[in-house]
Amino acid sequence: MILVLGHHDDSLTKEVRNRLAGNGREMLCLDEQELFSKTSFAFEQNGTHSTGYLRVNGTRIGLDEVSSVLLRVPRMWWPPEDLDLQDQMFVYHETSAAWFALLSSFECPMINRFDLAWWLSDITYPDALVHDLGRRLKVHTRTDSPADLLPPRILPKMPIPSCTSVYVIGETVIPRESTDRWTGNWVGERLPAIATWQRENGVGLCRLDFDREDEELHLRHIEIFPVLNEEPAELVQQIAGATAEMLA
Amino acid sequence: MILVLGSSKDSVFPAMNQCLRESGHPFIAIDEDNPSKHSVKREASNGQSVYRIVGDGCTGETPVNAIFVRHAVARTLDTKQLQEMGHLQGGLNYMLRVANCPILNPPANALSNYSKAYQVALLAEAGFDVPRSLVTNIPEEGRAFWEECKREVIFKGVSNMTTLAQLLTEDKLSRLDLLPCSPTLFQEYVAGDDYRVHVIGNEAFVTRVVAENVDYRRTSIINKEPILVEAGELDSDTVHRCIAFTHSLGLIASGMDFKKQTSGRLVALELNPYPQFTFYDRLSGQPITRAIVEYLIQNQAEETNVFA
Repeated sequence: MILVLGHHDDSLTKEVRNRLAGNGREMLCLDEQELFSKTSFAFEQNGTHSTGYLRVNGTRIGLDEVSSVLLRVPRMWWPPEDLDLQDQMFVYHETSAAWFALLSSFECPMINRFDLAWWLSDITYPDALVHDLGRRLKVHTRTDSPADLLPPRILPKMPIPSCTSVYVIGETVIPRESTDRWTGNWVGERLPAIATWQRENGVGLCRLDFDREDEELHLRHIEIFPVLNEEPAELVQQIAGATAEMLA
Repeated sequence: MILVLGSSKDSVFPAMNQCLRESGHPFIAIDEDNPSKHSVKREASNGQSVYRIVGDGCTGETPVNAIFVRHAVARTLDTKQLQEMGHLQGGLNYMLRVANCPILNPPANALSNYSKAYQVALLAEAGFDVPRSLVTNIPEEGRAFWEECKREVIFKGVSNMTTLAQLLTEDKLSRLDLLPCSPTLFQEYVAGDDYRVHVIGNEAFVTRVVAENVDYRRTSIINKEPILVEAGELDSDTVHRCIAFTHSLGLIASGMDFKKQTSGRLVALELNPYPQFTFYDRLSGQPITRAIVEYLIQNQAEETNVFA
């Protein structure tokens, strides 16, 4: 059973679902609202052992039946407005903390296995990822100076037009445009270091944005929740294909 | 110079400042409850980020060689105040991510207790005995767990939002019907004395707490009833494991909570990365605050990229 947690209008989620369905894979598909508001669950921990199940529309799925997870929840969910603000905040955090614990217990492939910093929308986290990978790849980093008005949460960034960008899905490197092939080759030569970074940060799918000056790259941004809705269909299919392969 | 970041509405910040004052060591304290007084500026220097805190007497020129941080928590729903505090703390957190001096504790490494259920798994992996735990939003599962645990179960929040543990007694069972509104953490009830282990670097203070209620904070803070808080003892293996676990999370200090049954079984409940240690040193007489100040004084970085 593959757990597909993402919105129906998210082009990556949609394409991955189509591919998995085409291959006859059994899936449970839930969007964020369905996951956080309508999914019943029990998650028990006894020492280092955990068990439990999800119950959706009367169907019970054991946590040990889940073979992989696509996690594409945009973290826009908020509790019902009939609660007062204080209770909304409480329910929001209780729900997030519960799902984080449950999802963390999966030992199966999960794209992406987001860090708590992402769940908590720690705005310093994207820069920290850049500096960490930059160190491992031995490239300079060039993060933007924190804006005067800091964003209240982590929001996905679209590709920066002046940057050269590649998508990395597991060991698959996909240049965003044909002009990004040189960067793709450069990244491809560094896959062992990237694999270690992916494993340690739970990032199986991301977009790497670089500034390129002649043959020197400066890592500018890592998008671990790339939104592909405005990308060409062919590119979305390539990325979805690689993602579905990792999940299958 | 030592930088103290915290909240004047909290007991730790004034106690730290007082202890530093008594030590005679230079320090700067920034009260995050008055966030408009300070701002954080980033500069690039030789490929490295340099951070300068300016405002309210901070010139941004004095090297900061060690940092104590216990961020202020929002005590209001006022949007403007929340935005101002969030802005200052956001800037400080960027700084704390890359500061090359000791930070007690780096906020980025202090997230695990956001999810108590997740932290229980980490504690178990580190070799601690942990209580059998259930997170659920299904009423019948809560009830079944209660029966399986011989009707000796506590319940509390899953996240780090403040909640006090309560015994799930028969008269509270009807509240299980509220579970679909918000998942809850249930744990087997471990009767016994409480132990708090404060780790500071490679040192640890063990404190024993005896109280009437299952959550001694309810006895002491809400019911205003007396509790016994005194220096305690745990075996050295446990203490060393506490120190190692704290360090494994990238923390210098922590407050770890245990329950010890009369049988000797010691059960780890949670690790608090920002413990309210003043409560324990005030009541037990253990010099925990002083140990933290000593740690900061003795472990200052010679070179720094933070100035205030």
